[in-house]
Amino acid sequence: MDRQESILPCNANSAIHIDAERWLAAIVESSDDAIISKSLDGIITSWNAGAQRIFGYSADEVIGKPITVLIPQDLWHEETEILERLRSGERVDHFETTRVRKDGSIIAISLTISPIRDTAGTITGISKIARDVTEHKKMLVREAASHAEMLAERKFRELIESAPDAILQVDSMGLIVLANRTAELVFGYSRDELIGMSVDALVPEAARSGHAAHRQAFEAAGESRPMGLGLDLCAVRRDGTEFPVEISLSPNRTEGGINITAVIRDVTERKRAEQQIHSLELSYTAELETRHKEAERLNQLKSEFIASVSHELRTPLHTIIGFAELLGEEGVGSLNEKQRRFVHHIQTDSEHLLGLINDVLDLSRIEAGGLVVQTEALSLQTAITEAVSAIRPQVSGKQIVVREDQIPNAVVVADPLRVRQILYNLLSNGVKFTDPGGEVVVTAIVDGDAVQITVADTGLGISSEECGRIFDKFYQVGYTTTGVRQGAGLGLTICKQLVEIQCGRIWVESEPGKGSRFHFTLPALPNVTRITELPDVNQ
Amino acid sequence: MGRRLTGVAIPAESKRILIADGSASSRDLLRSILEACNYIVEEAADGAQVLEIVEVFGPHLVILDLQMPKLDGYVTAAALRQIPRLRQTPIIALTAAFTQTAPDRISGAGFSGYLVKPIGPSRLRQCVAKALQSG
Repeated sequence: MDRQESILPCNANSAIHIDAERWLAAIVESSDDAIISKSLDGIITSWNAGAQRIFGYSADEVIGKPITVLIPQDLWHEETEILERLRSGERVDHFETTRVRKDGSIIAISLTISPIRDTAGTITGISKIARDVTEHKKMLVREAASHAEMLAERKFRELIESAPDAILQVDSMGLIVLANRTAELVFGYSRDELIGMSVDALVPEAARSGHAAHRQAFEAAGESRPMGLGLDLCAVRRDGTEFPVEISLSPNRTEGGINITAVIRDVTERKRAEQQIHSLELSYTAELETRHKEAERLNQLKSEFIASVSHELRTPLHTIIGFAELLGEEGVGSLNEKQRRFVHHIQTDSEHLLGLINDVLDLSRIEAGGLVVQTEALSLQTAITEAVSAIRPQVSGKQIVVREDQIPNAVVVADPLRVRQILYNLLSNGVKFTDPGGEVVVTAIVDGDAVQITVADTGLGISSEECGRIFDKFYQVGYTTTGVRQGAGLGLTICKQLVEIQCGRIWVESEPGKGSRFHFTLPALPNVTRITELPDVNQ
Repeated sequence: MGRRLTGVAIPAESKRILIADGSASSRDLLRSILEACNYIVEEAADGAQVLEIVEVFGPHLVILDLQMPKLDGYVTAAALRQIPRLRQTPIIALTAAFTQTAPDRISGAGFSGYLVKPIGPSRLRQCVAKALQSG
């Protein structure tokens, strides 16, 4: 056959020629690969046993049929392209594609396609060797998959190995089946020792008996969660020492049942830090307490100092005032006009000094928090009448009228001594700043659950600028009618403190030249305006 | 001395008053005021002296300063109350520091009343007269 001639080296001997043809046919028939030839218009012209095995068609079934019966429809274009390349004299080697078997299954094949030429070299047909590479492909996929699996496994191992926390996996019997590097370091066992060991051995003895039950309960619940929430967990090392841990658990389903993966964090350092913070807190608290005590001690000292000063200053004043008064009575002998005047100066100035000392001491005590008011139900009328009569000696000979006007029958909740002090201070101020012929009047009104008491004078008055500062410590308003500053500038400050300590407030209204009106409030007992007779609470 | 004083009744029978104060000038003041009223006055500089002379003197009234050396006023008053003769005798406390004065403590020590210094003549006379009446 001409066809064979083109393939084989030409030999003139026909016997050899025939032998060669048979030899070739035997090779073709025995090949595992499909060897197919087709005409240029795609009609199958030869079909070997390999082709039958691979594609499922017998030679009788396909010879004379178009090659496209083997090609999936969506790949028909391939055939056109291959034909193009062959016509231009090219070969197609190991072209991987898919084909359709007789039973419709798709197989992967590798094609080697060459043109067949006649003796003149003209292409008369096409030979096609197809190898079924389906299994090979599958194998490759399997290999790739197992490689990927291996990589993933390695990555996973590395992840577990390099984890900063100890990781243990425990089977349903409580035996350790997996342990990472950190677990070795944390617990002090080698991995070989850990694997197969009961996890209970890592639990401190006190908690060991209950651990198995906890494990089973966790298995039954089958949910990831932190272990022993809110408890201080401890684990035990190989050398028996215990250390604090935090553990989170997660279940893993395996063929052998549920395994538990435990991620165990050694929190020794953190606990130590917490301990340090705690002890710092404690020492700060102790420090604060010490300072607080020191402050209290100093306050106590201050109170004692005030009391002592009070005693030391009053003792000599007592005799100065007493003797001046005694001399002034002239019981021990008559005084001439000059002597009488001198004694009077001693008397008034020593009384003034006493007032200053009292003011300073009062303010010190108020500021030290040492002034305690003893409030009681107090008749407003009694309090005001007493204060007015107490101020009268100051007024005698000054031609100033001091009086009370329309005091309601109210009962205030206040400290009688302190109310008298407030009224005395306000009245005394009024008298000091009022010219002869003027008057100082005390009035009061009941206003809801409070009583408002007003001390009004017809004196010099205070500028609005000064009204804002008048209750400041050591602030003194201008000059008195006698042209001298009197007092230490503490009277109104003390009044303010005393009023506020008794839950009231104090303010002033004034106009220069028209006098001043000092108001203060005190809490009143409700519905007592009808009570006409009250016990004298000042006794 | 007291004869020149007007307005204060001179007692028919002179009463004996014991005054105790650490300050000599204070004692002199009290003595001067009270002798002017014809009272018989004896002085003590501290609580210990009070206890020494009180039985011999037999006062109708005792005035004790609270802040005295040796025995203070509180202790002295309590000691005086142990003496049967003085169980009903009025004892008046003197104090220079009202801040230190707790009325409860004063009455608890056996005092009949108290006076806060400075004490002028009129206040002392009134207080003494009232105390002697009730005592």
